[in-house]
Amino acid sequence: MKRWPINHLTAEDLDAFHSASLSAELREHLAECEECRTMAELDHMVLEGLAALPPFAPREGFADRVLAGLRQARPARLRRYLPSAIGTWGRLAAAAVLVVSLGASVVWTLFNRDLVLSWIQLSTAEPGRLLWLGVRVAATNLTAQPWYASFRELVASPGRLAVLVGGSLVVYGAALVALRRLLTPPSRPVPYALG
Amino acid sequence: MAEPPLDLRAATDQEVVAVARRRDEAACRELVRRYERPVFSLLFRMVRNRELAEDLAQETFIKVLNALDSYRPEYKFSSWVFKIANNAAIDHLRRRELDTLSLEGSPHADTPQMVEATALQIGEKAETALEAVEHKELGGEIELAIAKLRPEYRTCILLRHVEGRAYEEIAEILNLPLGTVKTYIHRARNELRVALAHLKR
Repeated sequence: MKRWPINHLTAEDLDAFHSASLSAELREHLAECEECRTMAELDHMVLEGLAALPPFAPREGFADRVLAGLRQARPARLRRYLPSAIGTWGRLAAAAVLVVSLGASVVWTLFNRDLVLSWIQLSTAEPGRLLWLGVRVAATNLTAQPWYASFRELVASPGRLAVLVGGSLVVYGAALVALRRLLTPPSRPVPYALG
Repeated sequence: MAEPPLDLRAATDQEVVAVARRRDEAACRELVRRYERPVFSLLFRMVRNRELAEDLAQETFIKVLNALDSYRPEYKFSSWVFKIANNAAIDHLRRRELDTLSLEGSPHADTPQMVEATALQIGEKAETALEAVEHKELGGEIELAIAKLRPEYRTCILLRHVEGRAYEEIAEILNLPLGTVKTYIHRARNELRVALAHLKR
Protein backbone atom coordinates (compact mmCIF):
# COMPACT_ATOMS: atom_id res chain seq x y z
CA MET A 1 0.00 0.00 0.00
CA LYS A 2 1.33 3.42 -0.90
CA ARG A 3 1.99 5.77 2.02
CA TRP A 4 2.21 8.82 -0.22
CA PRO A 5 0.64 11.39 -0.11
CA ILE A 6 -0.69 10.72 3.41
CA ASN A 7 2.53 9.83 5.26
CA HIS A 8 5.62 11.87 4.66
CA LEU A 9 9.02 10.84 5.97
CA THR A 10 9.29 10.71 9.75
CA ALA A 11 12.43 11.35 11.81
CA GLU A 12 13.10 7.60 11.92
CA ASP A 13 12.60 7.38 8.14
CA LEU A 14 15.20 10.11 7.71
CA ASP A 15 17.69 8.10 9.78
CA ALA A 16 16.88 5.07 7.64
CA PHE A 17 17.43 7.20 4.52
CA HIS A 18 20.91 8.18 5.73
CA SER A 19 21.84 4.63 6.60
CA ALA A 20 20.53 3.43 3.21
CA SER A 21 18.00 1.17 4.90
CA LEU A 22 14.87 2.97 3.73
CA SER A 23 12.09 0.59 2.74
CA ALA A 24 11.22 0.24 -0.94
CA GLU A 25 7.82 1.78 -0.25
CA LEU A 26 9.37 4.89 1.23
CA ARG A 27 12.00 5.09 -1.51
CA GLU A 28 9.14 5.14 -3.96
CA HIS A 29 7.44 7.86 -1.93
CA LEU A 30 10.67 9.84 -1.87
CA ALA A 31 10.97 9.66 -5.65
CA GLU A 32 7.50 11.11 -6.04
CA CYS A 33 7.25 13.60 -3.15
CA GLU A 34 9.34 16.71 -3.73
CA GLU A 35 8.76 18.01 -0.20
CA CYS A 36 10.23 14.87 1.38
CA ARG A 37 13.04 14.73 -1.15
CA THR A 38 14.06 18.31 -0.37
CA MET A 39 13.87 17.59 3.35
CA ALA A 40 16.00 14.45 3.01
CA GLU A 41 18.58 16.25 0.87
CA LEU A 42 18.73 19.18 3.28
CA ASP A 43 19.06 16.80 6.20
CA HIS A 44 21.87 15.02 4.40
CA MET A 45 23.60 18.37 3.87
CA VAL A 46 23.19 19.24 7.56
CA LEU A 47 24.62 15.92 8.71
CA GLU A 48 27.54 16.19 6.29
CA GLY A 49 28.24 19.70 7.48
CA LEU A 50 28.10 18.65 11.13
CA ALA A 51 30.39 15.68 10.56
CA ALA A 52 32.89 17.94 8.77
CA LEU A 53 33.10 20.49 11.59
CA PRO A 54 36.71 20.63 12.77
CA PRO A 55 37.56 19.95 16.40
CA PHE A 56 38.89 22.92 18.33
CA ALA A 57 41.99 22.65 20.45
CA PRO A 58 42.77 24.50 23.65
CA ARG A 59 45.94 26.60 23.79
CA GLU A 60 49.31 24.86 23.88
CA GLY A 61 50.20 23.45 27.30
CA PHE A 62 46.62 22.71 28.34
CA ALA A 63 47.54 19.39 30.00
CA ASP A 64 50.31 21.12 31.98
CA ARG A 65 47.85 23.70 33.25
CA VAL A 66 45.36 20.99 34.25
CA LEU A 67 48.04 19.03 36.12
CA ALA A 68 49.29 22.19 37.83
CA GLY A 69 45.71 22.93 38.91
CA LEU A 70 45.42 19.36 40.14
CA ARG A 71 48.63 19.63 42.18
CA GLN A 72 47.34 22.82 43.77
CA ALA A 73 44.05 21.19 44.67
CA ARG A 74 45.47 17.87 45.96
CA PRO A 75 48.05 18.88 48.59
CA ALA A 76 45.54 21.32 50.07
CA ARG A 77 43.18 18.40 50.67
CA LEU A 78 45.87 16.03 51.87
CA ARG A 79 47.49 18.54 54.25
CA ARG A 80 44.32 18.55 56.29
CA TYR A 81 44.91 14.92 57.18
CA LEU A 82 48.64 14.30 56.94
CA PRO A 83 51.43 16.86 56.93
CA SER A 84 53.71 16.07 53.99
CA ALA A 85 56.82 16.73 56.11
CA ILE A 86 56.20 13.53 58.09
CA GLY A 87 57.99 10.64 56.44
CA THR A 88 57.52 6.91 56.90
CA TRP A 89 59.58 6.83 60.12
CA GLY A 90 57.63 9.77 61.49
CA ARG A 91 54.35 7.98 60.78
CA LEU A 92 55.66 4.80 62.40
CA ALA A 93 56.76 6.75 65.48
CA ALA A 94 53.34 8.44 65.68
CA ALA A 95 51.64 5.02 65.41
CA ALA A 96 53.93 3.59 68.15
CA VAL A 97 53.18 6.52 70.48
CA LEU A 98 49.46 6.01 69.86
CA VAL A 99 49.64 2.26 70.60
CA VAL A 100 51.73 2.78 73.78
CA SER A 101 49.38 5.53 75.03
CA LEU A 102 46.32 3.37 74.41
CA GLY A 103 47.90 0.40 76.19
CA ALA A 104 48.93 2.55 79.15
CA SER A 105 45.44 4.02 79.46
CA VAL A 106 43.86 0.53 79.42
CA VAL A 107 46.26 -0.69 82.16
CA TRP A 108 45.66 2.40 84.29
CA THR A 109 41.87 1.97 83.95
CA LEU A 110 42.09 -1.65 85.09
CA PHE A 111 44.00 -0.67 88.23
CA ASN A 112 41.71 2.31 89.06
CA ARG A 113 38.26 0.94 88.32
CA ASP A 114 36.57 2.49 91.38
CA LEU A 115 37.85 5.94 90.57
CA VAL A 116 36.71 5.66 86.94
CA LEU A 117 33.28 4.41 88.01
CA SER A 118 32.84 7.34 90.42
CA TRP A 119 33.74 9.75 87.57
CA ILE A 120 31.19 8.11 85.29
CA GLN A 121 28.46 8.29 87.97
CA LEU A 122 29.24 11.93 88.66
CA SER A 123 29.25 12.83 84.97
CA THR A 124 25.89 11.13 84.30
CA ALA A 125 24.05 12.02 87.55
CA GLU A 126 24.81 15.74 87.54
CA PRO A 127 23.43 16.55 84.04
CA GLY A 128 20.30 14.49 84.81
CA ARG A 129 19.71 16.42 88.02
CA LEU A 130 20.18 19.76 86.23
CA LEU A 131 17.79 18.70 83.45
CA TRP A 132 15.07 17.76 85.95
CA LEU A 133 15.57 21.05 87.78
CA GLY A 134 15.21 22.92 84.49
CA VAL A 135 11.94 21.11 83.68
CA ARG A 136 10.52 21.95 87.11
CA VAL A 137 11.49 25.62 86.83
CA ALA A 138 9.90 25.84 83.37
CA ALA A 139 6.69 24.14 84.59
CA THR A 140 6.45 26.44 87.61
CA ASN A 141 6.91 29.49 85.42
CA LEU A 142 4.22 28.27 83.04
CA THR A 143 1.62 27.62 85.73
CA ALA A 144 2.33 31.01 87.31
CA GLN A 145 1.37 32.87 84.11
CA PRO A 146 -1.91 34.91 84.36
CA TRP A 147 -3.36 33.30 81.20
CA TYR A 148 -2.64 29.72 82.33
CA ALA A 149 -5.98 29.20 84.16
CA SER A 150 -8.12 30.31 81.20
CA PHE A 151 -5.98 28.26 78.81
CA ARG A 152 -6.42 25.16 80.97
CA GLU A 153 -10.17 25.74 81.06
CA LEU A 154 -10.17 26.07 77.27
CA VAL A 155 -8.42 22.73 76.68
CA ALA A 156 -10.27 20.89 79.45
CA SER A 157 -12.86 19.55 76.99
CA PRO A 158 -11.54 16.92 74.51
CA GLY A 159 -13.58 18.48 71.68
CA ARG A 160 -12.07 21.93 72.16
CA LEU A 161 -8.60 20.40 72.56
CA ALA A 162 -9.01 18.55 69.24
CA VAL A 163 -10.13 21.77 67.49
CA LEU A 164 -7.18 23.66 68.97
CA VAL A 165 -4.65 20.98 67.98
CA GLY A 166 -6.19 20.70 64.48
CA GLY A 167 -6.13 24.45 64.01
CA SER A 168 -2.53 24.67 65.19
CA LEU A 169 -1.49 21.94 62.75
CA VAL A 170 -3.21 23.72 59.85
CA VAL A 171 -1.48 27.01 60.73
CA TYR A 172 1.85 25.21 61.10
CA GLY A 173 1.43 23.47 57.72
CA ALA A 174 0.45 26.71 56.00
CA ALA A 175 3.46 28.46 57.52
CA LEU A 176 5.76 25.69 56.25
CA VAL A 177 4.32 25.99 52.73
CA ALA A 178 4.64 29.77 52.82
CA LEU A 179 8.22 29.54 54.05
CA ARG A 180 9.13 27.05 51.34
CA ARG A 181 7.68 29.31 48.66
CA LEU A 182 9.53 32.28 50.07
CA LEU A 183 12.84 30.42 50.15
CA THR A 184 12.59 28.81 46.69
CA PRO A 185 14.41 30.88 44.07
CA PRO A 186 12.30 31.64 41.01
CA SER A 187 12.92 29.07 38.28
CA ARG A 188 14.41 30.41 35.11
CA PRO A 189 14.50 28.76 31.71
CA VAL A 190 17.89 27.67 30.39
CA PRO A 191 19.13 30.64 28.39
CA TYR A 192 19.56 30.53 24.67
CA ALA A 193 22.74 31.70 23.05
CA LEU A 194 20.95 34.29 21.04
CA GLY A 195 17.96 34.95 23.21
CA MET B 1 58.66 -10.11 39.18
CA ALA B 2 57.64 -6.52 38.48
CA GLU B 3 54.85 -5.89 35.96
CA PRO B 4 56.00 -4.40 32.65
CA PRO B 5 54.99 -0.72 32.35
CA LEU B 6 51.70 -0.16 30.55
CA ASP B 7 51.90 1.37 27.07
CA LEU B 8 49.55 4.25 27.85
CA ARG B 9 49.00 5.27 24.23
CA ALA B 10 47.82 1.78 23.31
CA ALA B 11 45.91 1.09 26.53
CA THR B 12 42.13 1.30 26.85
CA ASP B 13 40.51 4.11 28.82
CA GLN B 14 39.80 1.75 31.71
CA GLU B 15 43.43 0.64 31.87
CA VAL B 16 44.69 4.22 31.85
CA VAL B 17 42.14 5.17 34.52
CA ALA B 18 43.36 2.30 36.72
CA VAL B 19 46.91 3.68 36.54
CA ALA B 20 45.77 7.31 36.93
CA ARG B 21 43.98 6.34 40.14
CA ARG B 22 47.42 5.70 41.64
CA ARG B 23 48.18 9.40 41.01
CA ASP B 24 50.40 8.54 38.05
CA GLU B 25 51.10 11.81 36.23
CA ALA B 26 51.73 10.20 32.84
CA ALA B 27 48.37 8.41 32.99
CA CYS B 28 46.55 11.61 34.01
CA ARG B 29 48.27 13.42 31.13
CA GLU B 30 47.20 10.66 28.74
CA LEU B 31 43.55 11.00 29.79
CA VAL B 32 43.71 14.76 29.23
CA ARG B 33 45.40 14.23 25.85
CA ARG B 34 42.65 11.84 24.73
CA TYR B 35 39.73 14.08 25.62
CA GLU B 36 41.00 17.66 25.55
CA ARG B 37 39.91 18.29 21.97
CA PRO B 38 36.40 16.77 22.10
CA VAL B 39 35.70 18.30 25.51
CA PHE B 40 37.06 21.69 24.53
CA SER B 41 35.19 21.64 21.19
CA LEU B 42 31.91 20.82 22.93
CA LEU B 43 32.43 23.53 25.53
CA PHE B 44 33.56 26.12 22.97
CA ARG B 45 30.48 25.48 20.85
CA MET B 46 28.31 25.62 23.97
CA VAL B 47 29.60 28.85 25.52
CA ARG B 48 30.99 30.51 22.36
CA ASN B 49 33.97 32.03 24.17
CA ARG B 50 37.48 30.62 23.92
CA GLU B 51 38.85 31.77 27.29
CA LEU B 52 35.75 30.65 29.10
CA ALA B 53 35.67 27.30 27.28
CA GLU B 54 39.26 26.72 28.28
CA ASP B 55 38.51 27.56 31.93
CA LEU B 56 35.55 25.21 31.89
CA ALA B 57 37.60 22.47 30.20
CA GLN B 58 40.31 22.86 32.83
CA GLU B 59 37.69 22.74 35.59
CA THR B 60 36.21 19.62 33.97
CA PHE B 61 39.52 17.74 33.85
CA ILE B 62 40.48 18.72 37.40
CA LYS B 63 37.11 17.40 38.59
CA VAL B 64 37.54 14.23 36.53
CA LEU B 65 41.06 13.52 37.79
CA ASN B 66 40.19 14.34 41.39
CA ALA B 67 37.14 12.09 41.30
CA LEU B 68 38.68 9.07 39.56
CA ASP B 69 38.10 6.99 42.68
CA SER B 70 34.36 7.52 42.36
CA TYR B 71 34.29 6.59 38.64
CA ARG B 72 32.52 3.28 38.06
CA PRO B 73 34.25 1.27 35.32
CA GLU B 74 30.99 -0.32 34.12
CA TYR B 75 30.20 3.04 32.48
CA LYS B 76 32.07 4.44 29.51
CA PHE B 77 34.79 6.81 30.65
CA SER B 78 34.04 9.18 27.76
CA SER B 79 30.38 9.43 28.86
CA TRP B 80 31.49 10.35 32.36
CA VAL B 81 33.87 13.03 31.08
CA PHE B 82 31.25 14.52 28.74
CA LYS B 83 28.69 14.49 31.54
CA ILE B 84 30.98 16.56 33.78
CA ALA B 85 31.82 18.90 30.89
CA ASN B 86 28.17 19.37 29.96
CA ASN B 87 27.22 20.08 33.57
CA ALA B 88 29.95 22.71 33.73
CA ALA B 89 28.64 24.36 30.54
CA ILE B 90 24.99 24.27 31.58
CA ASP B 91 25.83 25.61 35.06
CA HIS B 92 27.71 28.45 33.44
CA LEU B 93 24.91 29.24 30.98
CA ARG B 94 22.39 29.27 33.83
CA ARG B 95 24.57 31.57 35.89
CA ARG B 96 25.39 33.95 33.09
CA GLU B 97 22.00 33.76 31.37
CA LEU B 98 22.13 35.87 28.22
CA ASP B 99 25.69 37.05 28.58
CA THR B 100 26.65 34.28 26.18
CA LEU B 101 28.24 35.68 23.08
CA SER B 102 27.28 34.74 19.59
CA LEU B 103 28.90 34.86 16.21
CA GLU B 104 27.01 38.09 15.66
CA GLY B 105 27.89 39.67 19.00
CA SER B 106 26.05 39.84 22.29
CA PRO B 107 22.25 39.90 22.06
CA HIS B 108 22.40 42.91 24.36
CA ALA B 109 24.61 44.89 22.00
CA ASP B 110 22.55 47.74 20.60
CA THR B 111 25.19 49.81 18.85
CA PRO B 112 27.51 48.74 16.01
CA GLN B 113 30.49 49.34 18.32
CA MET B 114 29.08 47.03 20.97
CA VAL B 115 28.25 44.39 18.36
CA GLU B 116 31.83 44.56 17.14
CA ALA B 117 33.26 44.51 20.65
CA THR B 118 31.21 41.51 21.70
CA ALA B 119 31.44 39.52 18.47
CA LEU B 120 32.67 35.98 19.03
CA GLN B 121 36.39 35.42 19.00
CA ILE B 122 35.84 33.07 16.09
CA GLY B 123 38.23 34.28 13.42
CA GLU B 124 39.87 36.76 15.80
CA LYS B 125 42.27 34.17 17.10
CA ALA B 126 44.92 32.85 14.79
CA GLU B 127 43.61 29.30 14.77
CA THR B 128 43.91 27.33 11.61
CA ALA B 129 40.85 25.15 12.16
CA LEU B 130 38.74 28.14 13.06
CA GLU B 131 39.86 30.08 10.01
CA ALA B 132 39.11 27.07 7.90
CA VAL B 133 35.56 27.04 9.25
CA GLU B 134 35.17 30.73 8.51
CA HIS B 135 36.22 30.18 4.96
CA LYS B 136 33.89 27.30 4.33
CA GLU B 137 30.41 28.62 3.76
CA LEU B 138 28.57 25.56 5.01
CA GLY B 139 30.82 25.16 8.06
CA GLY B 140 30.41 28.81 9.05
CA GLU B 141 26.65 28.73 8.49
CA ILE B 142 26.33 25.56 10.56
CA GLU B 143 28.38 27.07 13.40
CA LEU B 144 26.07 30.08 13.33
CA ALA B 145 22.94 27.90 13.25
CA ILE B 146 24.22 25.72 16.12
CA ALA B 147 24.84 28.86 18.19
CA LYS B 148 21.17 29.75 17.79
CA LEU B 149 19.89 26.40 19.08
CA ARG B 150 18.65 25.96 22.63
CA PRO B 151 21.55 24.69 24.82
CA GLU B 152 19.95 21.29 25.39
CA TYR B 153 19.41 20.82 21.62
CA ARG B 154 22.95 22.07 20.98
CA THR B 155 24.53 19.54 23.35
CA CYS B 156 22.49 16.70 21.86
CA ILE B 157 23.26 17.54 18.24
CA LEU B 158 26.97 18.10 18.96
CA LEU B 159 27.32 14.84 20.85
CA ARG B 160 25.40 12.89 18.22
CA HIS B 161 26.58 14.29 14.91
CA VAL B 162 29.92 15.93 15.72
CA GLU B 163 31.25 13.57 18.40
CA GLY B 164 29.44 10.55 16.96
CA ARG B 165 28.00 9.34 20.27
CA ALA B 166 25.12 6.82 20.31
CA TYR B 167 21.64 7.95 21.37
CA GLU B 168 21.86 5.71 24.47
CA GLU B 169 25.19 7.22 25.49
CA ILE B 170 23.84 10.76 25.07
CA ALA B 171 20.86 9.84 27.24
CA GLU B 172 23.31 8.63 29.89
CA ILE B 173 25.50 11.74 29.60
CA LEU B 174 22.59 14.14 29.86
CA ASN B 175 20.50 12.10 32.31
CA LEU B 176 17.56 12.25 29.93
CA PRO B 177 15.16 9.58 28.70
CA LEU B 178 16.16 8.08 25.36
CA GLY B 179 12.96 9.37 23.71
CA THR B 180 13.69 12.92 24.83
CA VAL B 181 17.19 12.75 23.38
CA LYS B 182 15.83 11.54 20.02
CA THR B 183 13.20 14.28 20.04
CA TYR B 184 15.80 16.97 20.85
CA ILE B 185 18.08 15.75 18.07
CA HIS B 186 15.33 15.69 15.47
CA ARG B 187 14.07 19.12 16.51
CA ALA B 188 17.62 20.45 16.33
CA ARG B 189 17.99 18.95 12.86
CA ASN B 190 14.70 20.54 11.82
CA GLU B 191 15.93 23.93 12.99
CA LEU B 192 19.28 23.46 11.24
CA ARG B 193 17.48 22.46 8.01
CA VAL B 194 15.40 25.63 8.17
CA ALA B 195 18.47 27.74 8.92
CA LEU B 196 20.48 26.25 6.05
CA ALA B 197 17.70 25.95 3.49
CA HIS B 198 18.93 29.06 1.65
CA LEU B 199 22.23 27.34 0.85
CA LYS B 200 20.48 24.69 -1.18
CA ARG B 201 18.58 27.02 -3.43
